[in-house]
Amino acid sequence: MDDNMLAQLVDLGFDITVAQLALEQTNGKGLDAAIEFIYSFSEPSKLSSQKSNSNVTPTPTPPSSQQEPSGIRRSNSKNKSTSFEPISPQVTHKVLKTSRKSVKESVDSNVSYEDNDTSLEYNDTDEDYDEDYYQDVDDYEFDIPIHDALPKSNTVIQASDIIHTALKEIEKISSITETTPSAATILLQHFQWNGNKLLERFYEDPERVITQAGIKKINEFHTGKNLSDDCMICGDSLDDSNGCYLSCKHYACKECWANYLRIKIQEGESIGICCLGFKCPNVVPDEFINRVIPENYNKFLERLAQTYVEKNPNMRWCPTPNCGNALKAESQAETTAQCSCGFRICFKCNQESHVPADCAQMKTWKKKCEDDSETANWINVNTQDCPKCQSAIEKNGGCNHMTCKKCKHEFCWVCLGNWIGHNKCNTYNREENSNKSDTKKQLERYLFYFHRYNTHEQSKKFETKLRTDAVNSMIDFQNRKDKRWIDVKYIEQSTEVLIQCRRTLKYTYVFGFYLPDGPEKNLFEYLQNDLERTTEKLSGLLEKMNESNSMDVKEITNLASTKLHHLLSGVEEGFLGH
Amino acid sequence: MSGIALGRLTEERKAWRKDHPPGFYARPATNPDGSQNLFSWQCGIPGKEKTLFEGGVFPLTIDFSEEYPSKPPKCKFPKDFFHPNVYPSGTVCLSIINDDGDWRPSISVKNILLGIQDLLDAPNPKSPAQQPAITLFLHNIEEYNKKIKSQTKLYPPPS
Repeated sequence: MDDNMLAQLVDLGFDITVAQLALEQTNGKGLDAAIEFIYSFSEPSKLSSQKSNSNVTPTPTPPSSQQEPSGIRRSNSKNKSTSFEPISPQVTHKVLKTSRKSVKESVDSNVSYEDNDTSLEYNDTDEDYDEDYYQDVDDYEFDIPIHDALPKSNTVIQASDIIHTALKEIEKISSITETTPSAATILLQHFQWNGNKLLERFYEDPERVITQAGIKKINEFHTGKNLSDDCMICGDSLDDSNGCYLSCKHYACKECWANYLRIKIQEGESIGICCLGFKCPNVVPDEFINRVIPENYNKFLERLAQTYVEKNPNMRWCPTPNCGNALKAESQAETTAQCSCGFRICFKCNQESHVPADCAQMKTWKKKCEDDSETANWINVNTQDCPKCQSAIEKNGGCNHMTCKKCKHEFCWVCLGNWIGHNKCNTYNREENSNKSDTKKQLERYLFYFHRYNTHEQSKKFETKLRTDAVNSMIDFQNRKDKRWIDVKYIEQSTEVLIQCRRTLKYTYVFGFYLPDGPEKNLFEYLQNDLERTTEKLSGLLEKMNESNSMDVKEITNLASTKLHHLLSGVEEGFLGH
Repeated sequence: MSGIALGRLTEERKAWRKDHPPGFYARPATNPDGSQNLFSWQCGIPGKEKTLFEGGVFPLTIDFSEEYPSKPPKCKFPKDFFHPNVYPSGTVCLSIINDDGDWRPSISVKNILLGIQDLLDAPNPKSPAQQPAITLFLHNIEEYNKKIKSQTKLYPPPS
């Protein structure tokens, strides 16, 4: 019965191991149950049949009125660099480009900025960008849409816009709490830029919140009028022109204030610089800084942007050198974020995103790699285990007649057989593996995974080249073959999917290393192998890129992303238990 | 920069001469040519009454930098001074004279010296600066007290 079903499954085009597994797992509930089981992880054949349908009826010609302007505009290189946009409708990826317009609108229109910005997609260089863009997407739906392999749920804040975003946040709080912008800044800093928490506490007890944050009374900037005291720093007498103080009345001359503030800013402080009075808890507001050292105000703002990102638990810097963008997650529960430069980061450990392995596994793995790989390699290459006591032995010369220093066992180095009665060692011993000690077996197992992990790690180096190649062939196609930008966009997207697959594959070896043997692992390894094969196929297709294989590329790209998706969701939800 | 530092130090000197806490002394060092060096002061801190430090006057050097008063001066006891918050070099570890800590340009020499006097009998085990003193202070208070007492005898008040 089972054999019959197995044969049918194989006839349907499923891998024999998968078919077996599926039958095992569904406990012979029938062919349909088994097929359903397989589909719940990976839907290769289903998917490709869908694809071939759309091959049969291609309707890629949209109304001509819509295509002309867009084709021209897309050749603008700036647009290209920010063009990893969602094609698949279920993925909501936002690139926040804060133009002056967007700052204003978002502040005006909505209190809750995080929610609001999800609907913003601006490009300050091109006013018509939005409309054209969405028209393009509509056009594109007739063609094979390329799925995003990994969903992105974060916002990318371009380096140049960070300060605007910070100021926008400040303005919002300032208008709600009816405080000055600098007081709002101090409050926000105090609450680690968590606006909602701030407002909650503020409504409970505004006085307390203000005192705790270090604003005694909302601080005002004063310049000297009728000052009788001398500067408490340099002792110069103060007059109307040079005296300044906060509401705590620590009088000092402008020059002394300037020196003090300059040094503080140089040392990296921005918000939360205290008054120069001894033990005075008052915080210096930013208008004050602007008045005293206008020439350093920009530097101050830079620091502000820095603290805005660093103190905000929902934000991270993109770790790519010279990128400078900031990534903002919707919530702290978010685990990964992707920058527009293509880097994916794990929000928890600030390393490259390492799904499906988790942070703890990565930590142990990295430590293991640092500790073990050198030693392990050496041991593997240079030693053998004594067949009796399993100690690792290095042969540093002499003949093959070995005597173990530890147990005095005498054996042949070549065949590891007992030396006494030893006469031939040229027969292959298939049981050899079982003779090896546990440590050595473990080592070999580790090396197996390490080698594969490392191979994918190495391929990371080619990412930049891949991306440049993609852009080049896109330009080439547009120039030589007279294609529209939208027609060649898939190259870039496919490249991105390829990169994502390779990266994920790398980490699947860490995950696999820590996954105990069992049916779950078998299924995982099947999916991993499947993804690896598809990835290689995609890689090969992209290398031999030409206009005639565009359908293949798109198809394989989608296949790869679906497989990647299934692998990851399988890991997340567990492969077997539902 | 130097202008401000020098001006401020002149003011500090004036203020100190006008009024200073009893038992303390603080005077600028003398250069080889006999002139005053306002950037380095020789000071003395008397131990508080009814403490193990009573009866001693502990010599302290305060070195001001050109960036003073934006940056704090460096305060040093003699080398190997026995106290949990004094580095083996003699440098005092105290928040109000710490660059990243609570230093404010308005802190005067008087504030500093009084602050260090407080620190003598009330060490801060959270920021230990030398190993011998902190170990004894935490684990063998009798031995610690004995050491402090004998150290106090080393620094009698100047006659």
